[in-house]
Amino acid sequence: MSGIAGTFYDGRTSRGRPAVLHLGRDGVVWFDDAALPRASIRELRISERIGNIPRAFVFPDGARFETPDNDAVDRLLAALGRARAPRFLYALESRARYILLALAVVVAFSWALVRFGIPEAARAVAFALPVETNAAIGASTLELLDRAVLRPSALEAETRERLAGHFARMAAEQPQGFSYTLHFRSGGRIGANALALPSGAIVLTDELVQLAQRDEEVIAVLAHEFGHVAHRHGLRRALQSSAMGLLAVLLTGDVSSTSAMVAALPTLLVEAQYSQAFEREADRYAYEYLTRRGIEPAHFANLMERLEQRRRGAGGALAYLSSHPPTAERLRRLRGGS
Amino acid sequence: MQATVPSASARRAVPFAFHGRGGEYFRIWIVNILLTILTLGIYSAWAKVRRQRYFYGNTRLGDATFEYLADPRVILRGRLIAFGVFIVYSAANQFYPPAAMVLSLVFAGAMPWLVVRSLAFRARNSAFRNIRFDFKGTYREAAAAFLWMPMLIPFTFGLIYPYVVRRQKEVVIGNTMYGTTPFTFSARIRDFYELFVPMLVLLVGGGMVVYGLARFSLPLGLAVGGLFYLGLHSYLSAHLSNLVYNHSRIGPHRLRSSQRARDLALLHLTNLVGIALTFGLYIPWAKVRLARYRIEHLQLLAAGELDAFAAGEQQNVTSTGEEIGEMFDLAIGV
Repeated sequence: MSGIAGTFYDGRTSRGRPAVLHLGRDGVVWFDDAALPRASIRELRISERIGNIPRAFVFPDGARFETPDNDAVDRLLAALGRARAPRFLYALESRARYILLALAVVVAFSWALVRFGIPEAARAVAFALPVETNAAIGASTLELLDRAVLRPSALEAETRERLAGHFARMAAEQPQGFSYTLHFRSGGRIGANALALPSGAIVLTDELVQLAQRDEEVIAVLAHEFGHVAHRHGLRRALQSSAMGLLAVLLTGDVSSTSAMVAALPTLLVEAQYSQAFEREADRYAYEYLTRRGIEPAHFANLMERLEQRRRGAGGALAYLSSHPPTAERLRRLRGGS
Repeated sequence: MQATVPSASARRAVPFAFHGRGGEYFRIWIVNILLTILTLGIYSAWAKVRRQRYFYGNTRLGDATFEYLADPRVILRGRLIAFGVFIVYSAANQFYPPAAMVLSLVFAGAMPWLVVRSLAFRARNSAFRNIRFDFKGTYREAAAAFLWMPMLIPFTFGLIYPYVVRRQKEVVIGNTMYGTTPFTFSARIRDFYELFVPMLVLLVGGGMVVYGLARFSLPLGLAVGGLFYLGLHSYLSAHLSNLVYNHSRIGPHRLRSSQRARDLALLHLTNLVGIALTFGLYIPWAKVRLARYRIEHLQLLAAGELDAFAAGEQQNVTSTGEEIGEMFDLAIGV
C-alpha cells in the first residue's frame, strides 16, 4: 500500500513538515523522513471523519499528522478491520437514503411536537398549577392597555349596570378560583372588541356594546371571553411560547440573537395557529354555555357577522397569520350546530 | 492611518478561507438533530463537537486548518450541571421567590467566573498547527468589564457603553494566547465612540421615523422597523468586527477584516427569507454562508513565517463555565 501524504506537527512549535505516512505489516506506523517518530498503530488515535475536513493521527506524545486524504485513511482503517463505530456517523451522513430518513423523522417529530406535544403538555401543566398562577400572568396588562390603547368608557350608567348584572350572573356559574371583574372602556384603536385577562378580568369596549342589538349578543361575547379564562389560555400561551423558544434553540443549536431573529417568522406562524385553536375552544365554550341557558347561539353569529362587515377582515394567505380563525368558518360552526 | 504601521511590503497577506458547503453541513446537522431527539438530548454534546469540528476544520489559514478538540463527555457534564442549576432556579422562582433572588445574586457573583472559564475552555480546545490557544484572564478583570462597568451604563445614560464594549474586547483578546504568543489589542477608546455615537443618533432618528410610520400603518411600521433593525444590526456587526480585528495583533502579525454592512444585511435578509420559507431547513446553508462571508473577509498580515510559534503548558478546563453561560444567554464573542 502506498503512503498517505500530509503534514507532521510535533506539537512543540507551529512548524509543519511535509511527510508521507506508511503502515508496515507489523502494525508500525513510520514516515519517509527517518527523523520523524515511529509508533504502533494501536497507540495512535485517529480522528473521526466529518465531511472532508483533514484527518489527524495523534501520537502518544501529542504530535499530530494531518492529511486531507480522507479516503486513504478510510482504506487504511478498513484494511485493519477496525474503527467501525466512528465510521457509523459518517456512513449516516453520506448516504442519501439515511439523510432522507433522518429528514422525515425530524420533520415528523417536529410537526407532532408543535401540533400535539406542546399544546397538550401546556394544557396538562396549566391545569396542574394552582389557579392563582393565572393571576400572576399579565398582572399589569390592564394597566398597560389603559395607558396605551384604551380610554374611559362613555356608556350610560344604566347600560353598564344592566350588563354588569348579566356578568354577575354568568360569573357565578364559572369555575372557582378566578376573580371575575368586568371593565368598560372605550376601545380607541382596537374598536369593537372584548378581551379576557388570565386573572378573570374581562374588558368590554363601548363600540362592541353599541354594535350589539340585543343583550343576548353581549352575553354570547362574554361567554366566549369566560371560555378563554376557564381554559387558562393566557397561561397556556406563555407555556407554549417558552416551549417554542426551547425548540428553536434545539434546532438552531445556539441561543444567539441572530437565531432568535431567524426563528421569528416560523414561530409567528405557529403561534397564530395556537391562537386560532384557543379561539375555537372559546367559541365552543360559548356555544355550550348559550345552549345550556337556552339562548340561541345564532345571536353570537349575528354579532360576529356585523363585526366582520365593519372590519372587512384579512383573508387569503394572511389568514394563517391571523390570531382568529376565519369568520366564515366560525359562523358555520355556530349556526351549523344549532 | 496609524503612524506606527511598518511598510506594507514587509508583510505578506495570508487569507483565511472557508471550505464548508451548505449541502454537506445539512447532512451533519440533520443527523445531529435526529440523534439528539432519539437520545432525549444526551447526544447534543457530541452534536456540538461534530458541528464545531466541521466549522473549525473547514477554516483554513495558509496551508493549515483549525481544530476543535473538546471532549464531548466534558461538555455533557457541563450541560447537565447547567440544566440542574436552571431547574433549581426555575423551581425556586415558582415556589419561593426570595430564594430565587438570593440565587440571582449568587449567579451575578459567579458570572465573571463563568466568562473566564468559558473563554478558557473554548481557547484551550482550539488549535492550529497542533498548537493550542489559551486564555489567561482573571476573575477580577472579568468582573470589572462584564459586571461592574455594565452596571454603570444606566447611571451614565449609556455614555459609558462604548467604553465598556472596548474594555470587554480588550479583556477577551488581550488575554488570549496562541501557544506562548500573546494577542494584543490596540483599539483606542475614541475608535469605539466614533462607531457607537453615529449608531445612537441613527437609532434614535430611525426609531422616531418608524414610530411615526407605525402610528400611520402598523404593518408598514413593522416592515420598515424590521428592515431598519436588520440594517443597523448589520452595520454594527460589520464595523465592530472590522474595528476589533484590525486592532488585534498576534505577536508581530496583524489581522485585517473587511466586512461590509450592505453585504451582511443582504446575507441576513436572504438567510431570513430562506429559513422562513423552509421552516428552518435552510439553517445549515444560512450558517455556512455567514461563516464563509466572515472568514473570507479576514486576512492575516504576516510578518515573516508562521512556523515559529511555541506551545505553552496545558491545563485542563472543564466546560461547566461555557455551558452554564450558554444556558443563560451569556453571549461573549470576539
